[in-house]
Amino acid sequence: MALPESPVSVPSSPQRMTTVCFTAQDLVLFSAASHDRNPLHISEEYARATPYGEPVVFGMLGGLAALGQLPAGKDRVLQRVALEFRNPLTIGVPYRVDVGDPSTNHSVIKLYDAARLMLKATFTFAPGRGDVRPTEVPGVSAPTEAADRKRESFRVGDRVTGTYGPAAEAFQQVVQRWGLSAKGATATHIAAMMWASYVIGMELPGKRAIFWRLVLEMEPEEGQPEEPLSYDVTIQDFDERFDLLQTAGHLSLGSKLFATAQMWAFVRQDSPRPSLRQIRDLVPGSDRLKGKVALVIGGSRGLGAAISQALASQGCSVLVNYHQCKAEAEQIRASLGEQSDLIELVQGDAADVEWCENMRQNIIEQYGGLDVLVCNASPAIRPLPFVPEKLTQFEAFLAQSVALVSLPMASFLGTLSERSGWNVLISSAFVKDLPAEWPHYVTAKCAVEGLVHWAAAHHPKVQSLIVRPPKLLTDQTNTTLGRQGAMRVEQVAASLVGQLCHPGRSNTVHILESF
Amino acid sequence: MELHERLEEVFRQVFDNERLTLADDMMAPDIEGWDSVTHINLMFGIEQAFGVRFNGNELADMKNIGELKQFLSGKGKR
Repeated sequence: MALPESPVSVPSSPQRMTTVCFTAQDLVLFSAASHDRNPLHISEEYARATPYGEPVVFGMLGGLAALGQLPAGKDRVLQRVALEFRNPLTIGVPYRVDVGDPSTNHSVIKLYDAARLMLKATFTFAPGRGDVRPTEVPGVSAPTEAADRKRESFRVGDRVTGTYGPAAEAFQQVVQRWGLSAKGATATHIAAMMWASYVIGMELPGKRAIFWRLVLEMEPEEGQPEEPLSYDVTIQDFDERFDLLQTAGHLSLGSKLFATAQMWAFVRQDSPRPSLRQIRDLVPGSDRLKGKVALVIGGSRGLGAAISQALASQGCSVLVNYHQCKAEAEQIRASLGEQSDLIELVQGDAADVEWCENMRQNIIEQYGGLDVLVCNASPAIRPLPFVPEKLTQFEAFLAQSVALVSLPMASFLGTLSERSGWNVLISSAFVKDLPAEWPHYVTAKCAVEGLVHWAAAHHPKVQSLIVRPPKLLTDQTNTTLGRQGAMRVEQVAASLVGQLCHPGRSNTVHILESF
Repeated sequence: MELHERLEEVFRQVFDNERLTLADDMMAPDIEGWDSVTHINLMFGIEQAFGVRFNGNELADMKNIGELKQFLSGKGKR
């Protein structure tokens, strides 16, 4: 679902802020002004299948917000902008602003999330040009779809060219929203910053871009621009180790060079999808699960999708629960081919008591009972500092994580008990590795593991399995470094199904941590 | 500037901590904020400052700062 395109309300005057916070409407407004329509920033559906799980704030919008934090300066004009996008900014988070000594011609502004540096902006000014207020740069129309260039397509020396001008009305609203008047930046300077966002997000590399760094050097400006900017961007390097694209750009007004840019952006790879063929290679067919009924909570993507495929490939009827990712769920069903009738897609929020109760009744009526419950769903996982000001998010994550397991378990333990079925929890190796960035995730997984132990003690006919996979190659880890050392989901799904086929009966909770 | 000081300067920039002091036996968990994102910033920061190139994610395999310094010394950096 796309973010709303409703009219944007703009505060009448910018406040002097010690924090900045971005709204969905801020992203829509920046997109309209800059022509950067990269879906990572403006499509919830698209962003959900990226490592970020939700729309990311345009890095350049963060840069403009940083510029707006400077005091008004009447005796300077912007000469150089250096931006480092250290971590993705997200909607609704109040970012603390640290403004270095603003009295110099070299201002460093940093945005922090608690102690985590998110963005570093360095603005260098030339003295003696007086109060420069934004006016307008002639606009141009621009493509609405970001180019989708894969890593194989980048060759040193390849170029893109064109003309650029922001959309006038939205441009003025952005200037007003972030207090960019009288900061020493002209309309052309701000347009040049927006252009960098546009060219990275829409053209080179385009849709798959994660903007990392920008250095923009401006020449002295002569008079008001009467025509759009023209640009020429060339690939300087593609670092295959980290899928990092380096480009150099030239922006001109007429025949006169206005700015040069050095830009770096990571190029995201395709979203990983589980391979049914690989699962079949790993799990020999057997009749042990044939005719059984399984419900996979969070079964449309990543490990959940692979588990759904693996169970169905053994002849098990699988109810694949998904919350929002309908297209991915349908892909999983389609992947089963002739066995696709073993998959039933069930949309709903597994943390909702009414949905769970309806599902329980439907399963009993339609299938007579349940043999396997797999609790795989989790809220989107982002690093979270363990500091007092972040405990609201910590507690919300914990509550949501526990609900996604406790409600299905509370609803289905009875029917599992009647059929000596399996209660399967997808936990994580992180409960032992304890990574510094994931205190909320570790706590949540330890909590739900505790619930499985409780269930095993009080529902002795139910067989219990806790799965602790290591870092997996999924949408969430599909980053430059995240992919390194990540295990494929098929391997874990195969081991899980192997465990269900050959349980080795005991009254204790089985822990699966070797794959 | 000695290799140790140059390296320390890179770390201070990347970790945004002007008071960060390196010791040879320090490992990633000893430095606050060393996550996957800072790791990649650090790697490129070192490459740029010392004119070296890591082989893949070689930096992740180094067990501590001392080993990183040995790597740089081995490349003729001082």
